Amino acid sequence: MPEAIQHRFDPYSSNGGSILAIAGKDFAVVAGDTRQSEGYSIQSRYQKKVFPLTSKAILAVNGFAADGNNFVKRVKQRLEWYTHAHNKEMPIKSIARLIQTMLYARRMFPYYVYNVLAGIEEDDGTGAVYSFDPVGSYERETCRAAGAAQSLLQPFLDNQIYFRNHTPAPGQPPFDPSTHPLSTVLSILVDSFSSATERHIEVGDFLEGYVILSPGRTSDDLIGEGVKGVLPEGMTVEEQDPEDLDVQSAVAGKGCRVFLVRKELKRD
Amino acid sequence: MYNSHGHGHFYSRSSSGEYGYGYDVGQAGRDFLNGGMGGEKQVTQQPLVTGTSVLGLKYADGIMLAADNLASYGSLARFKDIQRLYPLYSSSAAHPGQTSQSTAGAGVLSESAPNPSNSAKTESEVMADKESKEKDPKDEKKDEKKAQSRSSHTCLAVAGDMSDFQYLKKILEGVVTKERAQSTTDAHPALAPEQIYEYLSNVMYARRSKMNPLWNAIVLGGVKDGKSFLGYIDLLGTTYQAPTLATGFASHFAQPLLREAYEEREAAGKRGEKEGLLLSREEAEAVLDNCMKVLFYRDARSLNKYQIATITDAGIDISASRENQTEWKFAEGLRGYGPQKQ
Repeated sequence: MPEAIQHRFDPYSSNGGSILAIAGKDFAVVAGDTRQSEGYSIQSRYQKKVFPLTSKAILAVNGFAADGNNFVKRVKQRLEWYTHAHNKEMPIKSIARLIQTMLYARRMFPYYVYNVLAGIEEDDGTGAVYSFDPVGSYERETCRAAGAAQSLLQPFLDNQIYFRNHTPAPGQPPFDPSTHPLSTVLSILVDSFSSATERHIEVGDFLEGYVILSPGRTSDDLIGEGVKGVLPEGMTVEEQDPEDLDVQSAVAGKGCRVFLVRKELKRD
Repeated sequence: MYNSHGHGHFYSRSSSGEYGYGYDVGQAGRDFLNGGMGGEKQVTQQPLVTGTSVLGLKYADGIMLAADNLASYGSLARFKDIQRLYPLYSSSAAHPGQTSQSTAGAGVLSESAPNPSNSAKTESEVMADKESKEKDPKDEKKDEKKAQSRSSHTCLAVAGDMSDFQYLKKILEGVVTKERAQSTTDAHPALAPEQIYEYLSNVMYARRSKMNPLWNAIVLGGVKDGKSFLGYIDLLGTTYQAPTLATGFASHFAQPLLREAYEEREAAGKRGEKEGLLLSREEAEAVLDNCMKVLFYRDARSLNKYQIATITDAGIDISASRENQTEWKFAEGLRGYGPQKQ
């Protein structure tokens, strides 16, 4: 070859898509679109980026897909070791800290992944969302959007979930973001992704995610009679058998119910 | 682009990735891998002898892959008789772990089925004929299932650096040999396409993480117990599955044609105009032939000599090299890019 070329290999890529999670009083919702892309090319219209870890914790990964998949694989391995050592599932609070240390361990060659962990807190049964940056900085929040359409989704959530720029009527109590009913949260989820699909080229094809209901929860179920109106139009629900959740079913947490939710998004 | 030869289009990418936080993760990685941490400086090679794009398509009986026979040295068409389809693993109840070429039509559905590539009847038609003759088709189906239960076939189509391809063949052959040794001594289950895919993705991801990638884009097709699998892996360890796949140049030129054919056939099936939702063997082959023609017209690193791999429950069939009829008369009046004449 004539000239000596010195072009560096870039070990990273970005695969588009977005993820979103919202915590309620006694439930949590986490979802993402299933489009995987690179540049202007759609690689696949159905590639998962939301993964059940235990019967009450679900991880969504977004960013560089190869790093995301391998990170999920490693987290699952650590959780399996934990289960074998302690004969119980790791609580979500501990999974969050585990994810931090695993991300920070790669501080000098990071996983190019934005993680959002959602589920049910072990001690009080509340819905929980933990969000992370690629090197492990994390916090518990009520809601979080990440990925390509973060800048479209998060302001909408700030307004609708956190009541930013709303003012309570005179004499009314202040707003509480943790009181949204499940039906409202699902509507917000679907509307967020429909809008992101309209305005962001990397978002589309399908919305797929999970709803986790706290053991104590009775009202406002997703399936069964008398709950029409909870589910946004076009959304399908399948209750998950803990054994299908790719978790240690023998010691599955008692009482949490997990539902897979799907909805078609536009393909263009 | 990863090199400046201009033949690296089997894998192209955009540079932008906006994720807020204003933190350049990539730079940190580069600093680490080239910095002081005491490690030796890795020299990332560049692809030298390369194959251009490959295709994969899901169809009624399984998977079809296509790749041309050219291995280029930069812009030089260096080797024009290179097979880039690799029948990695083929296992049936009769011959566990046996890898062979041109096995389609042999075995499982045998007695009445001649080699399908020379036959007017497809395997599904043969199967339908058989069922209609039998008194109880349900029993027949069960038997078919039993006969298929240990069949597993996996084939690769490889783009990118050909020496890395040869290295991959070597290590994969090692894995398959070990598996075959086990299966001769006990009831060792056959390797599923998904398992080979997982292994291969781990190899590719591990090498990229050492900043020493295997410079390839791979389409893996397989059929196990009648269930087909089609997946993509590249030098970054990126993976995805889809019913139609194309690498590099073909992801721009051929993928739209593949998707159009696949989706139109699916729609026709849903409207009830045709049986089933998938392309037939003949339809799928015609689509791939057309894609290879389009690629030959527009991809300067391609060759009008290519092969198609057909992976079904019966085995892997790698076709003889073939070429497309081309028409270049239109080019005679062309001068430059614009409207100028002479």
